[in-house]
Amino acid sequence: MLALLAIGLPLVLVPITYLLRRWQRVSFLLAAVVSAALGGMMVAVPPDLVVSLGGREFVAGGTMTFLGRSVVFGPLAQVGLTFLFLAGAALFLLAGLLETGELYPSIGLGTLGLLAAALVVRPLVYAVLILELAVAFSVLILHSGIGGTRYLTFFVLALPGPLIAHWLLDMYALTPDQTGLLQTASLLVGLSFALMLGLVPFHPWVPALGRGELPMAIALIFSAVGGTVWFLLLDYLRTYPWVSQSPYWVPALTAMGIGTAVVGGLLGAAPRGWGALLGYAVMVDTGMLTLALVRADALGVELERAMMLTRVWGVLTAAAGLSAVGAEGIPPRGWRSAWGAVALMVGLLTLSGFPPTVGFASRWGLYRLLFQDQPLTALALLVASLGPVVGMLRMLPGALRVESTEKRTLALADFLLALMAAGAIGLGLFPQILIYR
Amino acid sequence: METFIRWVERLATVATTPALIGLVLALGVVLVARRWPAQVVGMAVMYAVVGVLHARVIRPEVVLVKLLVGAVVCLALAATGGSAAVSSRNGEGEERPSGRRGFFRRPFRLADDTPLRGGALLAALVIAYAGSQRFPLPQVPLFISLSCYLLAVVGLFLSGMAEEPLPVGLGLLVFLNGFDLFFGALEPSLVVAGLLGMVQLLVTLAVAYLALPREEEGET
Repeated sequence: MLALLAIGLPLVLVPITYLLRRWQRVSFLLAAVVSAALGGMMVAVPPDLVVSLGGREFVAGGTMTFLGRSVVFGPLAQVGLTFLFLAGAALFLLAGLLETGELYPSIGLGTLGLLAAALVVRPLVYAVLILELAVAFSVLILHSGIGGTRYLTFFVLALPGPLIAHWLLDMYALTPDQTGLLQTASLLVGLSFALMLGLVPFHPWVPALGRGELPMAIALIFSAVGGTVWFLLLDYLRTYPWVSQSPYWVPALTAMGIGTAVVGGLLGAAPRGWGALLGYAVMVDTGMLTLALVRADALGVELERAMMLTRVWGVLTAAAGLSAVGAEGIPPRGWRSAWGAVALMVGLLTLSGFPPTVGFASRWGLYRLLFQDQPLTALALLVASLGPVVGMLRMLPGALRVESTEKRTLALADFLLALMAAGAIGLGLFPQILIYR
Repeated sequence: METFIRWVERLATVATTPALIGLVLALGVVLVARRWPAQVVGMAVMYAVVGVLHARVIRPEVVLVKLLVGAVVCLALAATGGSAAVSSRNGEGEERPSGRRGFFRRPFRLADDTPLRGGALLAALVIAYAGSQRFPLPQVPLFISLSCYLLAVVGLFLSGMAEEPLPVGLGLLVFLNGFDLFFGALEPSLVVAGLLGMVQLLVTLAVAYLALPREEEGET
């Protein structure tokens, strides 16, 4: 019931928000309220609650069949949907205040509805196909040809892997002596998720997207689409535990995670514009998340989730800040909002994992574990984390020197930006609210 | 409806060799020609040939859906190519060649990188042949396996050799067709076929959106 609501309600609202596009504030507010309400319901409504509608009884959670397909609302899907809709609510609220474009609520809600479907519709073959639909739909929110094309290309190339792997794993379940099937399936799944997550060497779409797009549009992709890919990967590994038992899985993922963080850090140290810097900071964070996934048994699922939450927080804060300051370009053209600049800095520091932001607090467990058995790796990751910070410091003087020609009033937006920046630092200073309870 | 299904059943009787030759020619046109009308014609022929190949391994009703998807995709690509070309001409102040001669010359004019693209087509043929011999795909006949490899490799080359959204999109659609041909045989469910068709339609829509210039940016 809850799962169907999570899919259906955003999709129903797509045409309504499209019709309301002339009244942008109303359509953004509607999208934000519905998204927040859905996110709240995912947290508050117990999955075993029975609801009577028209003489029929429905269970809020659990598994149900809709049009012949299984819709599963398990604990992982519940967490995923909560992430998705609360991030969506924040995105719509900020995007509405920062004048992102009249189609943002319609496309955003459509994307959220499809992503929700990808999280709950099973078997995973359908989930991957629906994720592809969501990705193609989310392209309509983008503006730049090159960034959007690369994003679409990498996701389309990732499509065959999980689908063929699903068939191979079904074959393996019938004939467990054919270990070759398992190796091929692991390779295909790993390759496809590496493409979708932007792991090195499949990373070019990440900075390209950051470079040429509206910040709030890329925030939707890095947080909502990226988050859904992570949850699907976790679900895949839970459904088919044999995949991660392949002897190549852990070394390959470790190498890719370290490589992504280091390459992101190195490239992020060069001043290539604020949007690209956001992309490189996301790469560093993706590398860390990949390493946390490899060590999930030792670190615990809670830390993995906390890292995902801090990633969404960092992306939203940085993108909203960037949108508010309008400082794209080399050299930067000057900034329109002081609080936007603060949010941009704090967001980038969060994604880089720099103290005292929440990004550092969530990575502390990973560093502690790595220093015990792989001190060089931990050192490399710490140095990589400094890359985006160096890039930021190199661009900062130029941005501060230029007097902005365009000033605007951002009263409520400024307040929200300040709140998000303060939240990132507050959670970093008191991480027990989020983790290490 | 019955008539259409009978047509599709008749498609399945088309000999393998002419279908494969048709596929190579269609892909050759899409890869080597750089003008959108020629590429769209190549895509239409490719969808028709892939339909013929599909008819060998899946039900005619599903093939009909795939042919319909192909028709819609080609129409959308033609509309996008035309609009993008007009915008590009307006932007550059280019004169449109007049008369019948100009019409026939323009779509098939060879670009400077034709030898490179011809070489890429040859490489794709070699890779597809070697791949289908060395790693034949499971549960499909050899000629389907060869076609899948060919479509996938040409799709990858097309999307890798361009930066503009429209040619990259053509590459992605060719790649998706190759995968669809293989996966259709593995998973002959109508829902999967429908979802794959929707993916192709949305990818086309996304590519069209990215290819068309927007007023505020004025870029293609």
